[in-house]
Formats: sequence, structure tokens, C-alpha cells
Amino acid sequence: MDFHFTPEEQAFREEIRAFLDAHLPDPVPEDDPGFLREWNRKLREKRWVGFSWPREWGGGGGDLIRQFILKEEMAARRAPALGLDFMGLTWVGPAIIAHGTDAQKAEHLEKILDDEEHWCTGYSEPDVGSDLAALQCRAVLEGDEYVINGQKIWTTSAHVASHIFLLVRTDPTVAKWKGITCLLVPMDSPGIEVRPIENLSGKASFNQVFFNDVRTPVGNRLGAEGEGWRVVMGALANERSGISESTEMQRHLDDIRELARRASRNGRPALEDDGVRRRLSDMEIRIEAMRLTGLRHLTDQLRGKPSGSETAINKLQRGILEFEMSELELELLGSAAQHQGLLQRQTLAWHGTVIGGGSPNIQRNIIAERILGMPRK
Amino acid sequence: MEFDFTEDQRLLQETVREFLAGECPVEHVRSLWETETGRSPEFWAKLAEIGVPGLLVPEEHGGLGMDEIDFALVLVEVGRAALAEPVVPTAVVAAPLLRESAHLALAETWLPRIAAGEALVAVAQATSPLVADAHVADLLILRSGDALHAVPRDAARLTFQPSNDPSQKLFTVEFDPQEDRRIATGAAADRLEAAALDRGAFACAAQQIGVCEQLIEMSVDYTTQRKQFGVPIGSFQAVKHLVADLKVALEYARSHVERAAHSVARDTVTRSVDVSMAKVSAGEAALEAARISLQVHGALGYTWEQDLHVWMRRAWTLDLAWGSTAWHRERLAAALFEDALPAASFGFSPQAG
Repeated sequence: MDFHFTPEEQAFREEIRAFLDAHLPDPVPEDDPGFLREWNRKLREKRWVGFSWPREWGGGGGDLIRQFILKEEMAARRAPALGLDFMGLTWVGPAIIAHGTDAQKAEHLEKILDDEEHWCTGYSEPDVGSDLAALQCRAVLEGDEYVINGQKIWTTSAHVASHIFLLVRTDPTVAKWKGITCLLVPMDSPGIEVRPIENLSGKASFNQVFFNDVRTPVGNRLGAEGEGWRVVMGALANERSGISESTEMQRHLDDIRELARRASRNGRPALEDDGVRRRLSDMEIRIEAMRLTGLRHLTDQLRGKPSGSETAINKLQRGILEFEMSELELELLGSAAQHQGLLQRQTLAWHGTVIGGGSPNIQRNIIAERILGMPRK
Repeated sequence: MEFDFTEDQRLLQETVREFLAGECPVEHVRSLWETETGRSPEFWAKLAEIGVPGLLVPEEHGGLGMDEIDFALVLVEVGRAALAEPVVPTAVVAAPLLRESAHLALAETWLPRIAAGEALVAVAQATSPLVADAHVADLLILRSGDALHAVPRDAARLTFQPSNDPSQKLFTVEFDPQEDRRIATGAAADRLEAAALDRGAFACAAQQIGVCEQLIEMSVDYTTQRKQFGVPIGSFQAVKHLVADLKVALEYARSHVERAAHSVARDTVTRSVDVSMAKVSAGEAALEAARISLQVHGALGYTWEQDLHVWMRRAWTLDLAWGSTAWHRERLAAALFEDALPAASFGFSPQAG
């Protein structure tokens, strides 16, 4: 057990800090698209976007420890995310690196890093949610093209996406998870119709997507036909370990603690209130646990042990914690919170985050069945 | 950066687990409830043969010269076996306290005896008026005023205090302080006592991990076998999700405990904060495991015959030992919110690691 970094790793940390000192404005104009584009360009010059992706495809070729240091330092300074296209960077790029042809890698990877492609992922359907393998959206091979018919729903960002990472059924005659194939489809293909769904915060973030005789070349298939389930399970396992999220959350909690110092309860600072202290200290403990548990997984990864269902643990906790933190923040602000439009929107957004990628009870099923081995039925 | 145990440390854990499975099955734990002392000198002698009492005793005094990181997984196994012998006061707290005290003659006398399994030591906890296992201890480490004293048992007056846990033996202790039995005074005594508290609390938290693992295992086994409406009750999500939440609490507590082992062993600046986090999260996980495992066992779990309550009682007992969850939560809050916290976490201040 050793928490020290090597002098080389420490030097890398210093390099990041110096870069942030020189280039990151304070406060960070995180809603300014011009700034974000320019920031991404600077990060790309350092090869810090797609830090762990192979260098030959535009990535940084970096190791896991340095990736951890990079994410932690960026989050500590509240720098914008490393790269702009979240879906492409988190799910699609790693899946293409693992399963794609050289042509697919050449076509997509650098464009994801440069924010020239914007990805959405077509998983859920009207009748298919947590039982994802039962999906029905159909694709039939005709000559050298797949013809796609069906519908997806809850497709986040489809209304602004250039491509969709699409799961389709290519063989309805075999076991449900064996007949699934993964396609990489441009959103401007004729026959795709996107209908935004207004979410409860009043914004369009997810959509219905209709496929009506959409044709896409067989070269857009990721992995072999019938291998889609394996491809997507690998992509899901790429889910983040929780380390950098815990750093972001620690910064958020620091803000709440300062708020509790200023806010008043019964004529005294709220930070002296037993109830507030209990909730805040509980959050400190859980965020630290999230960071430490992320480090345990990182150590496993460094030793070549694949990250498994354990990431469900951090995912479950993160959603619940973020939500509780926002609730406490609103409570400390009291009636003044009515004027904090942004904060309320964030709180509403966390309602969505808790559900996205599998609601808490789906994570509990995964933990009970895959980790503890409890009976499915 | 490597946040895991070594092969050797895992091997030691395996050895202790096999030893306890053979020598300390639950029947052994329960049979000691019927005896006068509740303790087994024969068992302690065997425990000494595999080196556990002397794990933290330096090699020149006949011990293994290991540290708290090496001890962590051993303590998990102690918890899993519901072993209640005075491993914590003797081996985890007293041995390093005697080693670190300036009282060399005391260390030279007692450390070899601890390592050989010939001496048990009871230690008064700064957070409790009761001393555990004073009745079998050869030496008691007690506070009086601003001084710590090492007192032979026959020089102390013990009064037994009943406990809800028949595995636990508690006493109030009176003694007449004498200068020649003084280990340390003033700031030196405070330092030794603070280190003792952190070691004791860490050791309880590590045992609570084992208790929690055992309770989860029993709950998974039972709910997989027990059928109602034609299916295992463990297939019901209302049951499954309770146990899944326990697993989350366990894994989070485990991370804290492993971190605390490192912080205690290296005496880092965040030692007390890390220990309190471990004690709170492991304590809560074990208490919740006690509550949930009883619920999923139903009426069967509420019987004297079923062994479930052996571990439930360990969860309750350990929660209150070496600073309760509430005590550690408040210590943590004071450190975090009154800025008494040294710059935390190795990420931002690597020198602290």
C-alpha cells in the first residue's frame, strides 16, 4: 500500500498546474461556447483530450495513473471537461478503439477529440428499458447496406448529434442478446426523424428517434453481426470509476460548507447546527469513500484486472449524493433559493442524472445479482 | 500509487482465516459464554503460535515487527470469526504504546511476554469509563490525572459490569497511582493516549468489516435457500435491494478502513480524520447489516438458537468501543468545519502520504 507518486508523475502534476495557472480564466466562463472551443484546442495541443487513447489515432497514449492525475487536477480547479463531446469520448470512442476497423478509427476518433462529431447512443426503445437485450429496432442486410426500421426513445442529445451509436436487431430467431448488432449511423441519413421530448426542467435534452427505411453501408457496422451485445457491454464497463467525479463533488461540497458558514439558523451560523453538521460530515465521508473506492479500482486496472460490476457501486452513490447535496444547498439558501434559478435547474437536472444510464434500483439489481450472486428469479 | 494489500498480506489473512475456522468456530464462541471468564488461555496460546499477539512487537523483542497495514486483514478475520479475546487492547493498542513510551524497562519486560502469548494487557479508553477484559489482563494501562500508569492486575480493584454482549467483559477499575508505575505524563501521555485511541478505533472498524461481510454472507445464503410463493425470497427486489445497499456500505467502509490502516501505520497528518471516517462508516455499515440481516431472516433470526445474533452483538459492541460512531462523527466535524483539519488527501498534498 503506497500513496506516493513517482517524481515523474509529480512533475506531470506540476505541468498541469502550471498550464492551468497560465491558461484557465477565473472565474471559468463555462457557458461561453467560444471559450470552450478555444480551451479544447489548447487541450488538444497537449494531447490531453482522449488522454488514454492511442497516439496514432490522435489520443495521448497516456497511462492510467497520469490520466487519474490529469482528471483530478482539472476537477480541482473546476476546469471544463476534458473534451466536449461527452458521449463520443466516454462510450463511442473507446468502443471504436476496442472493436472498430482502421477505417472507422480514422474516420471518427480525431473528429470526436476535435468536437467535430457529436454522438448520441440509441439504446432504449418505447418497450425496452432495463431489459435492454429485448430491443426490437430492426436492421436487415440488403446487398452492402443495412436497412433500419424502428424507434428509439430517451435518446439524449439526438437533436444536436451528428451520429448515433445504434443498437439494432439483425437476427430475431436466436437468443435475444445474440441477435443484436451495433451500427454507427450519420444522423443526416434520409429516413431519420428526431422529435425532442421536453424534460421536466423545461429543456429538450432527450428525444424520440424514428427510423424509416434508413440505409447505411455495411462498413458502418461496429464489430461482427450479432456481436452488438458484447460491444455495448464493454462500452458500459468504460463507465467512469468515480475518481474525478469525487473531486468535482468535493469542490461542490466545499461551496456548501462555506454557504453553511454564512447562512444562519436560529440566529447562529448553520454550520453550528447539529443537523447540518451531521449531513455535511456524512457527505464528506461518502465523497472520500467514492474517491478511495475509485483508487482501489484504479489499482485493479493497473494490475490488468478488468473493471467489473463494482462501478455500479460508485454510480449508485454518485447520483444519490449529488441529489442530496443540491437539496441541502437549496435548504441552506432558504427562501432566497427561489431566486437561484440556476441552482434549481441543476437540482432538477440531478433528478435526470440519477435515472440516466440505469436508475438506482437497476444498479441495486446489478450489485445483488452480479456481485453478491443473489437469485434472479 | 498502489491502493491494495501485498501478496504476503493476503497470505497472512488466509492463514488466520483458516486458523480461526478450525479453532474458533461459532460453537467455540458460544461455549465461552458459559464460562466464568469468557476467555480461553488455551486458545490464546495457539493464537500466539501463529504470531498474532506479537504482530506489532519489534523483532528484537520476539515479535513479528509488522505494522497496522499488515494487521488490517487479520482484524477483518477476527471480526468475521466473532472472536472476542483481547486482541485489540493487547496486540493492537498496548504493544505499540509500550514500544513508543519512554519507559524502556517496561517495554523490555512486557513486549516479549506479549509476543509469546504469556501476557494480556487491558487499556482504559479515553472515551469510556469501562475497561474491557481487565479480569484476565496481567497489566492494565490506566489514566489518572495527567499521567498514564501501567498497573499490575492485583494492584487494581475491579468491579464487573454486565453487558448486552455475553462476549464482552467490562469492568470499572480503581487504583492508587504510584510514581514507579507511571509511563508518561502531560503532553507525552496525551500523545500516547491519542495514538491508542486511533489504533483502537481503527482496529474496531477493521473488525466491523469482517462482521459486515459475515452478516451479508449469512443473509445471501439464507435468502437464496428460503423459498416462499415457490421462489427464493432473495429473488424479491424488496429483499435484494436491502442487501445490495449493505454491500455498497461495506465496500465504502472497506476503502476507509484500508486508508486508515495506512494513515495509522505511517502516522500521517490526516491520521485522526481517516480513523474517524473509518470508524463511522464501518460502524454504520455493521449496524445496518445487523438490522437488515435480522429483517431478512425473519423470526428465525430473532431466536437464541440461530447464530445471527452472535455477529449482531459484535456490531453493537464494536460500535461503542474506542469512541462511538457519534463521538467520531463529532470529532470529524470539528476537524472539518472548525478548520482543525490539516490539508487533506494525498492527491493535493502528496507529502502527506
